Amino acid sequence: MPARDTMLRWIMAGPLALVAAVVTMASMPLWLPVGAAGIDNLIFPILLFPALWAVFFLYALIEARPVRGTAIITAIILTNSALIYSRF
Amino acid sequence: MSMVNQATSKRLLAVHGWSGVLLGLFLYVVIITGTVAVLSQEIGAWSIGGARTQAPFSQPLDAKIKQLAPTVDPKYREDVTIYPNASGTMLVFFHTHGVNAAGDPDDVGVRFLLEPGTLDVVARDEGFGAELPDDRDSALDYFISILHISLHAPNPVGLYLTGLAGFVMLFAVLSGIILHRHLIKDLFVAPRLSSRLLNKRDRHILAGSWSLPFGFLLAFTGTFFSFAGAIGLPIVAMVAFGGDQMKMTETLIGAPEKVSERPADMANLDSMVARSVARTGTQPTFISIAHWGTADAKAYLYHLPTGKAVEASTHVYDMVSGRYQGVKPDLGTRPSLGSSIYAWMGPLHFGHFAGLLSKLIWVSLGLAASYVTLTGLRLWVERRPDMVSGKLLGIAIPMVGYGVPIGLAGSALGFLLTYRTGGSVYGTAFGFVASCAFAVLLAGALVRRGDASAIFLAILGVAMAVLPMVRLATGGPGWPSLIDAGQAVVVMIDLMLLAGGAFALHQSRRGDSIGRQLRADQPAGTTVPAE
Repeated sequence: MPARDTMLRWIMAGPLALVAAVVTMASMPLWLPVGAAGIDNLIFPILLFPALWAVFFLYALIEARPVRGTAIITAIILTNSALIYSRF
Repeated sequence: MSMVNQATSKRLLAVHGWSGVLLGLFLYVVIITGTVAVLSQEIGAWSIGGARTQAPFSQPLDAKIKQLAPTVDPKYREDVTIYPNASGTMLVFFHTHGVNAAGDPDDVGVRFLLEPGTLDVVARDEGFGAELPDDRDSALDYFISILHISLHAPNPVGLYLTGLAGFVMLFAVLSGIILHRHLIKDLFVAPRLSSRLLNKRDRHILAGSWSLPFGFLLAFTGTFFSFAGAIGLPIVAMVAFGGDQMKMTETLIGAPEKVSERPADMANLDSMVARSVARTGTQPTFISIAHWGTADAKAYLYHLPTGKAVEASTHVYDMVSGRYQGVKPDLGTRPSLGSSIYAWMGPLHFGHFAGLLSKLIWVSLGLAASYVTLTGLRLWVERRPDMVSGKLLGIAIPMVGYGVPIGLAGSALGFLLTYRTGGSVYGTAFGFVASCAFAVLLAGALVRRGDASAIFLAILGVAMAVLPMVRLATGGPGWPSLIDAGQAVVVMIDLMLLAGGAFALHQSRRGDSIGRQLRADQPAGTTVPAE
């Protein structure tokens, strides 16, 4: 079903990739090591945000099966969201 | 070999092309203004005919600041920032922190402008930072820098826009790496002469292949700068500190120490500057003094990268004893990997880690990246001569490609013509807008001609070549006196403008001959594709 695949790929590369990058950045301070000055877990997520967005965007284009790709990105979003939710 | 199969490669190529078509010209604007902004400090010095002092912090500032401090409201002595503008005029801002009329956090206090050499007060202004009069000496370099950072759009919209441009560039670079079938071979490809289109494609690939690492560096650091404050910091603060950005700032910069209200005499600032200059081998570019006049006052002297260091450094002195207290990390209270990598972002983006040499390399690479962006768009257009989008882009490419540099030259012209009258802030902006409007009207007038590149190039060449003459005609110093005064950087910018102007004029003659040839080869009424 090429039409469905195309639409899924648009959703994956557009809103899903951006949301996945944002929630991954948001959850990183919770599991990254804090480092010598206690700030690495805060700095690295902000530094890596452009790379995270680019990786999710590229993955959305490279993944051969859009349904699987959508499921994987959605799972990443849900896992990170759960981590963030557990913080509050 | 390509890293992906044919279907994926086709998909990536389609997105690579379409994202370039939709946002390529916008990306070009950000890259070309950034390329010019690398030399903003030098352009600032050029615009006012050279700084009137080469070592602004080596003037007797200590006595002057001790003389000014009692004249301001004591609450404004919480922080003092001291820095020179393009002409060497020192800006001394006694301030505290508050919220301005727009509801934004802002510094509020009294700002003095001190004449270079004599340190006489030439202006005294009081209010919030956003409301203080613009600095007319730095109008041109400030205009160019903000054009690159936020396109003069209100924040955070401007930062989002330039961040989006950075992301498009990041994707273009990464997809370019994946799509390259022969990356190593492409680094040494000889442009084919058998066909004009193939020749252009080969030149695009050659410049693009060499630009890949630099493009990645610029895109990554640029996207970081656009999004870090506008998106990253609030989100990370929300998760790690329940949304308390103040608490996060305390963690990143260090919790404010208990400040004694006990008055104390301040040590000699000039001595601290002299020791910091001896320690680093460079003048500071910025000094901040916290809690002036109290027993806990400290001075922070900021130096650009020196020696083999890539990152800038901040040297701390006790303002009561005058003792050196060491280097303060950019972030956190002690050195860390995160702080070091963060400290590298600025020098890698602005290219100022090895002085003028690294800046000139960054300018060259920026020009190459601009060339790759424009040639990529032109290739897309030339492959689609009959599509409406291709025809529209064919008009827009020279209009934006040469219109923005013409606009930048116009802003410099506007600055030079209005600087002596005191209206340089308005004159700079007007010069840019008027020149860009001229480029749009010209593109409209030449729409039937097809390729207008040669005409645009000729105008750009004249605009660049005329700037050094206008600088002289409006009272700027000549080359011998500039060299005697140690202001060779102004001569360098003059020469760059003259060389750039001559190159543009030469290319316009060459381009026009190609255009004439093509028009002669085609039937009347046929549009000549953009070069």
